Amino acid sequence: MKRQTTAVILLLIAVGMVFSALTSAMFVRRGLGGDWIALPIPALALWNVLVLAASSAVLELSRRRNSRTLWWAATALGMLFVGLQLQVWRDLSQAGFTVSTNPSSSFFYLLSSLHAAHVIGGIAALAAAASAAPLYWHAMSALWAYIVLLFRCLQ
Amino acid sequence: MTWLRTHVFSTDHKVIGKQYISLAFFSVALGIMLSLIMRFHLIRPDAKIGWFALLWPTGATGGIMTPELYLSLMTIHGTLMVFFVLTTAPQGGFGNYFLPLQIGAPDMAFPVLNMLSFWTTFLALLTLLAAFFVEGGAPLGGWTAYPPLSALGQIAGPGQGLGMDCWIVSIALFSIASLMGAINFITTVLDMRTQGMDLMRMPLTCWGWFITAIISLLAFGVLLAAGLLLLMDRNLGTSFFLPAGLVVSDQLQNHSGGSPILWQHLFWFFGHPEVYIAILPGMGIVSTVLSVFSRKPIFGYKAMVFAMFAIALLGFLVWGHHMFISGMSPYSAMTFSVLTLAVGVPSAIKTFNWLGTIWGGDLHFTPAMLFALGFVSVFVSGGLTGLFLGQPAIDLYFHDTYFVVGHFHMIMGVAAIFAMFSAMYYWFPKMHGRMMNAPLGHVHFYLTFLGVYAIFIPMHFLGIMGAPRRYSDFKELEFLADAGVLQKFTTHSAYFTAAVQLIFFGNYFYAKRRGPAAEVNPWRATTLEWQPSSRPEVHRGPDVYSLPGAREDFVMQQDKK
Ligand code: HEM
Ligand SMILES: [Cu+2]
Repeated sequence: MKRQTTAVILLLIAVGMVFSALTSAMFVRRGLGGDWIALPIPALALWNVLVLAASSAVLELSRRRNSRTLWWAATALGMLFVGLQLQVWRDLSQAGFTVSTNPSSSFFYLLSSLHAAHVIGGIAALAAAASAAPLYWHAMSALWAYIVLLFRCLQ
Repeated sequence: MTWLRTHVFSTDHKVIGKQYISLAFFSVALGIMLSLIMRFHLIRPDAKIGWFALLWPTGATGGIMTPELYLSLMTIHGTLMVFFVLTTAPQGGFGNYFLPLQIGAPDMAFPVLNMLSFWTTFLALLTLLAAFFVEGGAPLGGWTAYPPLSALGQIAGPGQGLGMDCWIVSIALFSIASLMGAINFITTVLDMRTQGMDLMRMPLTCWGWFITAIISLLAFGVLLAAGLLLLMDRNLGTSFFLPAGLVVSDQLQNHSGGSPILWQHLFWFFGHPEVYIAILPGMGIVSTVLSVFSRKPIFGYKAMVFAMFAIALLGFLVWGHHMFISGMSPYSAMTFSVLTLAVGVPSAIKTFNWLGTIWGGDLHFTPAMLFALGFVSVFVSGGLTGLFLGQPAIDLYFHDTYFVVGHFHMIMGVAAIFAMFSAMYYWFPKMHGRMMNAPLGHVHFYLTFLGVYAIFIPMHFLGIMGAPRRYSDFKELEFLADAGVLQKFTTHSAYFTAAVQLIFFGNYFYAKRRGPAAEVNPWRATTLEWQPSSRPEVHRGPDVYSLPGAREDFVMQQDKK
């Protein structure tokens, strides 16, 4: 339905504002003093970009072929992503980076958990077979790629 | 069960609109009571009041109010007024009720989401009020909650502990609710208009709600983000807003590297657009009411729409004018200043067009019309002082004085409240099927109009004398020794104005039950909400009045000829 698409676009704008605000806060915070430590991002976080991208691709395929099975496969990949993110956080804290260790890790935990919360919302929307869910889902894939890229750039 | 579904957990936009209005009624009543207690304290700081001690055993031991208690009342007053009054009733209240009716939609685009927005707002209100009852009481930081003191917890003052957490959670919930509302409003305007209702045929009220929703969509996310960062600084040991070497209450704080100015940027990037969220729906309502009671089309409809967009856009570029004294570069200050003064242009266009609308009209001085005219008056008075505050050199002196308090009460508080009164008198017949008493409405208007000027003009003089804002007691300030009379006058004007509002409440509640039955279209207005049929086709713009040779002096939007 048309209005669901409109609403999802608006929702994405709102989500975009939250993440833009956090991004600019991050740049400002990094520029403030000498205490910013480059964050060793666990390799799994990078692989997770692919997991979500694959999920998006499968979802797109499911739309083209009108296949329920592929739709569920995409949803399952989304769940896998959340599971792997838990491992990312575990790896990071084992490397000595907790929420309060350094502003870089504070931002990473905040951005990644906020993103994960949005992904969980997306999984619910996919499970409910909402017509505008794919649009939202692709945006969440892109968002995770953006977050990883952001931290790579701030090394 | 059905009663619950139709009156409490209803998805009908009309019920939800009324729920928002009730929430705002409650909040404004509480907010005014708090302000009266503050004003009382300001003229009699040493008074011993038994029931203060009963209500606030720690804040007013023995009945004498502590400065901390004053600050917490002020914080809740400001937060209630800005968020739970000015951001709920004009948009969630009147907007919910009348937007679908005016564009010929069966309901809002997402009725369930609409219900969720309301109940989330309600939860936010409960969370805010809970701050009074938790250990340490309500927060002290004002509605702007500046760090470092807001980020440290109990050590920064009694209300800065759990009370501050309540405040942040409340504001976060409120932001989420507002975002849901904004999505609903924008989608409704874009996708739910009836046949023939082009965007440029929408009444200006709808434009007001639409543009307000766009601003909310862009602004509340930033507040939400800022709130999350603040919560983390408080509870997870991060240092976004907290610098190194901070000593508070003789204790070195274990944080480093952050900056409280970062909060100010994030907060005001939301905060300035917020004042337009409060006022734009009012501008729409006032435009419509002036046109109806002048029996004339809006003067410069397109310019009005353009001006609202211009205000919305500029609104996102001026946040720095709240931070002139934060040590920003003079070049930035200059830029913010020029952009701020530029807001004067669309504002002047609107004022000019309101005057153009009533010029030569056949004026009907109903209570709604009087409050709309009053809106224009206070909007101009409040706007003029903005020109002073928008200049860094002058703001250096005025910042954080009562001049600012006078300014924002005029332009934001009183103007928006006048628009709400206007809307209430105007739409009451539609909402309740009865008429409010007009003579009482007149009395209410004239006394309120005098009253608000009597409260807030003296505040400007206090500010010019140098009276600082957010002080509970001025006796130690020698340069204010002569200000006692002004203070007393302000306080008594506040008592007077608050008492006058009882006339309104009396009139409202009486009319709701016993008022004379209203006709279908008592004001002979042209917009769709005043006619019964659903999903009509629309053939013209919203304000066709006084056509020469026509049988009636108006043509409804859906009439073919
Ligand atoms: C009877 C009407 C009102 C009276 C007498 C009144 C009085 C006051 C007083 C005494 C203060 C504290 C100033 C200080 O100590 O610095 C204050 C603050 C404030 N008021 Fe009102 N007020 C009224 C209505 C409103 C309305 C309608 C609004 C809606 C915008 C409003 C918004 C605020 C805000 C935002 C603050 C600032 C709180 C802060 O500093 O964080 N007030 N008011
Ligand atoms: Cu501003």
